[in-house]
Amino acid sequence: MADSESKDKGKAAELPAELRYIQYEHALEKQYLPSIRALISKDLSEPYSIYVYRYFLYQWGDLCFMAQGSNSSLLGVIICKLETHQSHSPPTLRGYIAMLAVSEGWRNHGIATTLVRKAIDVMIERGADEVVLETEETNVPAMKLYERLGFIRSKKLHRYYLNGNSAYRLVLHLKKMVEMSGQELV
Amino acid sequence: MGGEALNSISQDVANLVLDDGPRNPAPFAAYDSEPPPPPKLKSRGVIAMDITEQFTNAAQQLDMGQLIKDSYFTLFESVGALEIMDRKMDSGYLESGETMEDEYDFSEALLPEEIIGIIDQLLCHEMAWHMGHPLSQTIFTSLYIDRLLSPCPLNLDQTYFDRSESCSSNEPLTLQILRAYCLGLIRTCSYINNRVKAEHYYEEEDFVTHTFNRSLLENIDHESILKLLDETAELLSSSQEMGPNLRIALGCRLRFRAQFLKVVEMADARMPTNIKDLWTDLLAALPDIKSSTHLGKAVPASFSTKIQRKLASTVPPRPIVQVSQGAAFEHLERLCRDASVVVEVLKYYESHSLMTFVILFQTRKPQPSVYARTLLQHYLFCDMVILGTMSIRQVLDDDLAATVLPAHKLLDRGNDDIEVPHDPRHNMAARMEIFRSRAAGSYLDILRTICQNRCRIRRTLCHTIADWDNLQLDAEELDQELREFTEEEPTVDPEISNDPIYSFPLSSWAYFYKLRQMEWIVQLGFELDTYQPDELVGMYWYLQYLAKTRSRHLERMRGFIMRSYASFRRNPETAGQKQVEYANAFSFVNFSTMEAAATYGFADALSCLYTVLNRLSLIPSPSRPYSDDSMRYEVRMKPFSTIGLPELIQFDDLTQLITQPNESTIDIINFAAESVMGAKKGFEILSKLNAKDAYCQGSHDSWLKNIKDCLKACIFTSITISTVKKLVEAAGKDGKVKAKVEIPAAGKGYHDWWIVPKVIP
Repeated sequence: MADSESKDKGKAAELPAELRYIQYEHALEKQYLPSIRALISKDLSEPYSIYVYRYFLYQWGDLCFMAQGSNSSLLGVIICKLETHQSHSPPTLRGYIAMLAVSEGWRNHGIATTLVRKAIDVMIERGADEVVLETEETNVPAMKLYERLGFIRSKKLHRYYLNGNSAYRLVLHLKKMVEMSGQELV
Repeated sequence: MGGEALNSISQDVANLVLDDGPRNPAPFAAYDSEPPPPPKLKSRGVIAMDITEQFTNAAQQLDMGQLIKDSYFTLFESVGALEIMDRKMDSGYLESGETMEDEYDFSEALLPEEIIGIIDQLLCHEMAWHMGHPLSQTIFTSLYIDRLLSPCPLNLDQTYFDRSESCSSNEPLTLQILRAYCLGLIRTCSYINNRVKAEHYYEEEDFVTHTFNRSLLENIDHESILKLLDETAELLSSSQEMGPNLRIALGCRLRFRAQFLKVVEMADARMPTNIKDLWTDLLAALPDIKSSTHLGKAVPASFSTKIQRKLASTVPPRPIVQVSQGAAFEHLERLCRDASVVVEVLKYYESHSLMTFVILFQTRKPQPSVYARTLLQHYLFCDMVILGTMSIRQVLDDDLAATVLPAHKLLDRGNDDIEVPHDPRHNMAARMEIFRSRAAGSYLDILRTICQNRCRIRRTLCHTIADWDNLQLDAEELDQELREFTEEEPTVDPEISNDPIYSFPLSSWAYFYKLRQMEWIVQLGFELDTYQPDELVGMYWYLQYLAKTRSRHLERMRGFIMRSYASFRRNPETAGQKQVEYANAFSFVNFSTMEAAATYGFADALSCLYTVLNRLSLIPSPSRPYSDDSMRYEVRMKPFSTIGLPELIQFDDLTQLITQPNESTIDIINFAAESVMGAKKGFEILSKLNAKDAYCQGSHDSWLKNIKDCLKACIFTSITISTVKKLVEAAGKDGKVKAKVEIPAAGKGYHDWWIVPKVIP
């Protein structure tokens, strides 16, 4: 899905003093969903209806983290899901990073990396076997971010995006394949 | 309603919030009157029930803002939802002052310059469609095209842009030119769309065949459109309406359109006669168009995104795709060249040259257009008659004879006529038929897979090797059964064991192709920039392992061919065809062995080079707090994990093999130098082979270029190796070396499959 790490304009000098990370829950929808949507949709070519956000946030609110700056401004957000995945191989509990966005002026401060790490850490607590995502070939900062964490490119997807750009599927195994249970930790 | 009233209402709607305050638990308490009666429904079988109370009770059990998700509401549903009055999603949403449809005067006479402008923009849109963008964002954005297609005309008389009473007899020449051009354009697209739809491609990834419920005028006879184009060109040439430059510019566009329409109709026929010339002629028509584009005057009002509202579409309105003229002409030129080359596949030499042709065609850069790739599939497979002239059996048997069964009784067509059930020939024929029915699909699928986009080739091969693994096992069983009927005498090699050794021709053949596909998976991984810099050492080691395995397998195959040949020579049989088949099989096995040797020599050299660079800490490796290298290895090798043979190298073993802890750095670098020299010699020998001996008949030029690029990469590698050697030798006691390693970006090296690092001291 969408992640935006590419542009690097107007970089802020330092991280805001009051930077804090908040884990989402449904009660926060009224307060935060509009700004989450605004931040993510800036870099999207296709609009997502509110139902797309609710689809993820209702089921996996604990996998959504927000980076908040002064005056409760939203500087970054990550939205994910975690489900049993079944295809050619035995079922796995697969985390998927659906959306990742950091406000333009606040990039290159490690906010995105922190958001990703927080989400993955919750996935691990819940027993995830692996984490996957797609990212645009031209989005070099995003790819570096994930590859620094331990993801590798499993395949290239031709003209995956609406603009005709190709993508890479990035995969991170959290367990040896023989230990993958496909089930959540209760 | 005025625009302002509309605005204020939409503002009110936008401001509506569900939880405006505490809710009154009593329903309809604000109303004085009774609740309204249930609606009167006059439908038989429908009984209206008032469920207000039940619904209200149920709704009261929800908290404010609480969400309920039905289990059938999937991501697909959510992505399909749209929000009314959101301009990005609601195609009925109008900006203030905007009209639903474009108001365009189709009777207005256009200047010749404007016709050129519209035609040239249509060409850009046409190429954008070829590149994979949908008609709705390209050709269908033209108001003139829209006018032609809706409603769908039944004949040419219904295609006039101007629908007033006095239309047909008064159509200005300029509009006739545009109409004829548009008709030619759409009809050409119908041929192309049908060709793509009939073959294997990936919708949205490669191409969008969706026509949004519009017809592409298949119902209008192709000849009548050509006639209109010709007649219009005639009228134009004798017209005094415009200056000569404009006349010539419009004339060459009409001729181009007619030529393109002719060639797409003829290209479907699988007779190579003049198709090649038609494509080169079309290519030759382009310079005149290019040189006169400056005469054109754009008519942007004749293109619009609003037409999307009328099209049967499941997606929100999207912007018009703009492709530059330069890019459009480039694409068209390449399409003409690629299409003129692809028709050469129809000349069959033998099965290995056929596969080489398809492989090399697909390595043309940039990737051939989808239309060219689907033409190739059509030429190969249409009606399951290979290249229009051969049965699948013919090609398969050709390949078997050239690889494992030269002059073998198993391939004797005479066996088919034997109906006596206990006759060994009958049994051979029956089992060979089973084998063919099992193997033909897989074999042809290799060719079809190679016709896909580069990413899909690799993705598909990762799955087809599992199929070939099964085929190999099934073939082993057939090999065992067949021995009874062929009366094969085993060999015994006491140095290996006392067990009899049988040839297993069918499973050998399957194993050979499985190995080739595994090599290609690794090599395509280099081309598609899949591996991290610190993975290159392991992936080149693996390539070397697979190519060496292929080489040993070929040796085994050669041994059995030699035995068979020896016994053939002992019989007083006429030489002729059988002798030729043996010679050919030896030749192929030798060629493939040479090619495998060059591959593993080069791969070994690169692997060792990367080993040394890693040792010298010159290849960056991020900290990677999550997962570990053994799990990453599992991700990387997943496609090979289900393959029985060759055995998957375990992570710990591979780590030893690529770190080579018992070898000194200088020994490894020397080994790399020798290895690359050997590979270089191998590529040099290969480069001197003629097309027949190199199994590239029909594509020798491309094949030679490929080998020469490998050679260049080899030479560059040996330079890097000697640079590193000097650095290592000059290093102090601590062995530390100061240098920078540059790994070329994908597509920037001499050959996409050989990623050669540059070392800068």
